[in-house]
Amino acid sequence: MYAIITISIVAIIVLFFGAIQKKKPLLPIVYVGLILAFGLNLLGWNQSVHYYNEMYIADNFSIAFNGVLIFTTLLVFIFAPVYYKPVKRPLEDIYALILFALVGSLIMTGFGNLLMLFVGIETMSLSLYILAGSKKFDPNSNEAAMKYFLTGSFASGFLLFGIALLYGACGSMNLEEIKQYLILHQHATSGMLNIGLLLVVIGMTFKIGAAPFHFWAPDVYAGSPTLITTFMATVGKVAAIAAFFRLMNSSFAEIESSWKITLTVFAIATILIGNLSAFNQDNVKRMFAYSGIAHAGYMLIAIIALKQQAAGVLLLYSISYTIATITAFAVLILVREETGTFSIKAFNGLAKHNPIEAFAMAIAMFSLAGIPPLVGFAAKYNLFISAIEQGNLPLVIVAIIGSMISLYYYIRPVVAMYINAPSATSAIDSSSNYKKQIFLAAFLMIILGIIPGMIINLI
Amino acid sequence: MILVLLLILPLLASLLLFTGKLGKHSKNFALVASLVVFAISLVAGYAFTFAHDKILTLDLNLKELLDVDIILKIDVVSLVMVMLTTLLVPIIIASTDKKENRTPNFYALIMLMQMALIGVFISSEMILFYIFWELALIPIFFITALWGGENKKKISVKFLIYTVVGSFVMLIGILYLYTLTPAPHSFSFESFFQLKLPYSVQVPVFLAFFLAFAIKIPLFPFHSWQAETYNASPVQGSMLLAGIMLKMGLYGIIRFILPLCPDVVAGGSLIFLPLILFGVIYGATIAITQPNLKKLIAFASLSHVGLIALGLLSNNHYGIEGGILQLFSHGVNVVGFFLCYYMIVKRTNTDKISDLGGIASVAPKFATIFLIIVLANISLPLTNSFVGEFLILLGLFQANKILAIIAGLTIILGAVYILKMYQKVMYGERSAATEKFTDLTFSEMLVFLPIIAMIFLVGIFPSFILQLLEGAVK
Repeated sequence: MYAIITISIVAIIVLFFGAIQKKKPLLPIVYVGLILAFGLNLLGWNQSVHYYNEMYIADNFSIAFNGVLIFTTLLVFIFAPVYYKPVKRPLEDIYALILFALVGSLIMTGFGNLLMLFVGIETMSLSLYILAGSKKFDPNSNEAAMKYFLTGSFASGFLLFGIALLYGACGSMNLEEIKQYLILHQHATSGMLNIGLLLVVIGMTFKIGAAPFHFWAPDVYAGSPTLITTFMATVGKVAAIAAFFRLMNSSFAEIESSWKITLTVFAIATILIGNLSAFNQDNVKRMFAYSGIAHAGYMLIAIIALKQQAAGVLLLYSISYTIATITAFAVLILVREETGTFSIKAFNGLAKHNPIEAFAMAIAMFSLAGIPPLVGFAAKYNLFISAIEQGNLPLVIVAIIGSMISLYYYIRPVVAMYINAPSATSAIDSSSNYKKQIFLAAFLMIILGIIPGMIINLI
Repeated sequence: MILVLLLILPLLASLLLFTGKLGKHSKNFALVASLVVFAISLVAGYAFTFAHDKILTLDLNLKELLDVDIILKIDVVSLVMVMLTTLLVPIIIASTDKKENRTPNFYALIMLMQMALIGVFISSEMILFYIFWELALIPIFFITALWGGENKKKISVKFLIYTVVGSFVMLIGILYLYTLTPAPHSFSFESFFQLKLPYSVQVPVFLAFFLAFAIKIPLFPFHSWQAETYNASPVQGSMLLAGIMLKMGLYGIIRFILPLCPDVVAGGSLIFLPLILFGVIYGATIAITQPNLKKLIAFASLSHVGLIALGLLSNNHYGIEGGILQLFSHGVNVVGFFLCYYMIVKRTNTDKISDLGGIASVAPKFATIFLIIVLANISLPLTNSFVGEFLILLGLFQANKILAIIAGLTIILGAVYILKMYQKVMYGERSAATEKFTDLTFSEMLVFLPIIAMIFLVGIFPSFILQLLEGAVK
């Protein structure tokens, strides 16, 4: 809770400094504020406090995910100066919107009431709609914002309608009370409840960008400014999946038979569509959009294999996915700065003049593909185990086939960097500062791959 | 403790090399490190022979932290494989010529590879095994991709994807078996071996594992990556691949397929044995017509490893003992063969057999060594492969007489392609390429020494390994 308040205040301060045209203090304020929020967030560990009539619950689940989200945002901000180097104005609006989106996502992980879920999602989405279009004079960015807004608000409508129906059926929007209602009526659920649940599931599926409601993702990811895409692909996705998990785990676990099949079909479709569409993308940014879809499918497995341990596995998967994605995007931003293109050819020969960046990118790719001993493998195999323990072998087989396909497109940047001859462009000029952060991320992927048990048993 | 050292030392050496601080001394450092690892494996072997139940185990109990139980175990089969690895890696490192100017990363990757290979052979927990199994792929991929020859990009990617697809299928098998273990589920080998699988379960498990191993070994019809990859890889990469890495697949057959799917192995022999046998004959036949030396070695190797797989799957103890022994011998021989190839290419810059000739007249030492290695490759009595291949054929004969007779043909075919090649390369008129051929230097002889020693040692006194194996196989 304190983290949410801190970040909101920081966002307002940032806006204020922007209003008086001060550029220098903006980023330091953001850094300090995020670090402070990170610390405050951790203070609540093991206390499980409820706020405002169980509107918001700060339990270990939400604290762990909030930690990931805040840390990820911090990383995004660390790469902001590189990305916005040519821009002279203070950019307070963009920073503040990112922070507001973060606030929304923090609410999403810890909601205790369906209304809060909606508030959180809308806070995040509205900020993201604007951010997607923040490159005002770029038609692609405009297109992305418009597409995202139209489809997103449609999905929000579904979600809200579903929540209303659930309220009608259960007489409450409190997660705990819905659960109590379902325990009493689990064999005689009304049609209203089922339809409401289905609508909510559709809304959430849209937000995590899973098939069959994924069509917005590629265009929005590819059109948005890359830094914003990074934020969307990591914070946006992880917050939505955590919220989805929380919703299903705390309220609807009793009637899992009624939604499990639907979600299994969604997960299978997502994994296959995401991986197959990414297969031959020459635009790396677009490739990551599709790979993000595929990863949403893997994360759905954690929801399908609902068990207490699955929360830890989901956390591990989120961490592995975010670190790898951020690293990859950071390198992508640097490469794009130099070559002006997102094409895979821009990576040619990167290893020759920028070995650290190339190494980090290679590690990120192998981690996303799930090659041991990186964290991506640990996350994937734990996910598969939790699914297979529930007897869901076909789903796991599809997921593994998806991983096989994904290896091909993840290996392409690696091949380009290490084997292809350098193209005419010069080396990326990245200050040693970023080298360290990028290297740190790669290091984290290896270390976490060795000790994943620590994270799984965390919550 | 020894077991942990076997893993940690190569890893540390590799990390140190990756930093690039060692510069010019990288090769020497890697050589010393790998020799130390060899010494440790000798200590492990010594400790093993005096351990009362002939098994060294270590369970680190780190499940909470690592999410994977670190269970390491050395039994006879593991010991043979570890010995092979630690013996060959120093040879491979020493063989690298100074003129090639390899960067420190090259040696770092070799050391990393050694760590992964040892890990595969001594881990006794499925996920740990799988991690090492996959990890071994990454260094060899980069060795081929960075220092390889023509078409290295296409070939290394094909190789990577081919093998990873195989291992993913194995992963499905592993996860499936995991669900069958009694609760609380466990990934340890022990709990897997205690499963008494019904036949209907054994079949899919067999298929899942066998596909992964067949790609790795490689067995016909999954061999198409092999000759290309050998050809494109730098010679050290080919040695690692042919000498050690392919043995991972055969090791997998011994470790998993034989204990987990005994009924399939016993009942299905007429389905897959002929297929493997076809690959054996096919490899040997193709080898006869190969115009270039490296491809000849590749196809010869395809034929030899297929024969080992036949022995292992022949479902009787002669075949299995012979197979294990031949695993070791083939590793030594093929590395020796590649070394000879390397000596020739280094001096003449060509490996086309038709461009070579008359080397024996200028380089008698090399001719002798090459002859020994070549004869070991066609399993002449008193060399190491004779014992192994004899036992394999004996085992096969008990399983199925017709198959054994056909398999015996490979020895004849082997003699054809090997002796034909040797005659063309070493005798006859000297060609332009071999005009200035110089004999081996002292340090080059030194590299050959352990190989020649092993050829005769195992060839003349096979009993000390066979006695150990006998107990284990039963």
